[in-house]
Amino acid sequence: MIDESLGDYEETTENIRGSSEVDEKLAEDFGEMDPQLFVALSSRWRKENGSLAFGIEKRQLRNKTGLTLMELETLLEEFGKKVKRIGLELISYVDNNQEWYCLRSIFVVPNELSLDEQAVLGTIIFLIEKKTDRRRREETPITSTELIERLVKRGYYSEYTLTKILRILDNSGYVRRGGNKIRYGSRTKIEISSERRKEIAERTEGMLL
Amino acid sequence: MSGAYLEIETKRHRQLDSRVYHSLTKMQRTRDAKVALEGTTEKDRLRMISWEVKVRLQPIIFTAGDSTIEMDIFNLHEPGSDVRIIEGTSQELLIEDNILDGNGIAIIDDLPLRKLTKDQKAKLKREIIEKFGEKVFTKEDFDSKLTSLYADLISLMVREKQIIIVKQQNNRFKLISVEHEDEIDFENLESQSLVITPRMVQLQNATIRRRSKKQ
Repeated sequence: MIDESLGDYEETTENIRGSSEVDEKLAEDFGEMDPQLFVALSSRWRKENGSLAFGIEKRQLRNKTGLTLMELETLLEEFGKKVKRIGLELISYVDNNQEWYCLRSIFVVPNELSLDEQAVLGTIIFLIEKKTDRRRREETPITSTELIERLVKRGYYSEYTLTKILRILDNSGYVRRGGNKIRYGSRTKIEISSERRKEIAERTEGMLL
Repeated sequence: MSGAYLEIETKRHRQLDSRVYHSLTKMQRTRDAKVALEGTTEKDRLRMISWEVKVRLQPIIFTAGDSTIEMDIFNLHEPGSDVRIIEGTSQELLIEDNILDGNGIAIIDDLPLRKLTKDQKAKLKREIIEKFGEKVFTKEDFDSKLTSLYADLISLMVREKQIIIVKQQNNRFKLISVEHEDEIDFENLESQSLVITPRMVQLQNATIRRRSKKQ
């Protein structure tokens, strides 16, 4: 029993030494690390294909900092604990087979979408959730014709306005459009969890008479 | 609970029963929603949907505006392939084009404008004519051989009337320099635009299309 707890103690001190060495090395190279990480994780970029990328890619973070996988994960875990105090959480997501990190609010706070953009997103969520087979994990895309059927033919928006809103949602990463198909963008998946998407679908059912 | 329920013994009966109850509640809910929505305008209903989204959305946090810290601190461009302003040979131009090929992220605002001298332009134009002149391509073929720089220059050369792109049958076309323009039957040509897609860049070129003989 005593041996075991001693072993644990030694391991912990080793870990602390390891991470403090890492901190020193990073501070030497980049100055104070936390602000740098905050800037990188809360930045947004436009990719070459026009879609929005948010946060920073793991590979780039490793390349630049020169940390091992383990060290990087420890660094981010520590950083995650710190940002939690100000109501943020560190999220990792996979885009195009690459792992990315970004910061998300723990709470529901005002978002940057307008009323109409939120309404169209809500309708898309409703249509996709309705169409998706619950037994399968991957969601089924909807066609823009289905959306037009709901929103244009029933007199909510003109086709021009709807197209404009869809373009904004696409540009800001909420939906992905390919040909006639509309899918969730990675931002929708990050910002609205799958349970909440189902809730939205349930609550909005029948609202668009 | 009805006495009939006690008679239901098999699993299948229970499943059927629960499905009926499920669809009944669903029907009831839809009917309630419809009753509740009576007298609402389209705007009201959109507002309700947007509210459902709004109260469930945990946004990703962005810092807006320019930062005091250099944004490329984590080397978002691949190491070793920094964007350089071109002053040297055309070899360098090709190296720079290559960084636009990958799936990596380029901050387009940060790419410097290319400035070519007259000599460099002339040299590249000669290269284009050597590479593409008097040859027949399909559009896909042509697109895959184009870099954005070539596309820019071809566009320029068409505007300056140094080359003519003639569309032929079977969706093939030919790039002809003006010195060989006597090969073209101008009486049977019509003007049209053709979109060429060099990898990621889309450009519009003024081209001349041969009217089909049937017309």
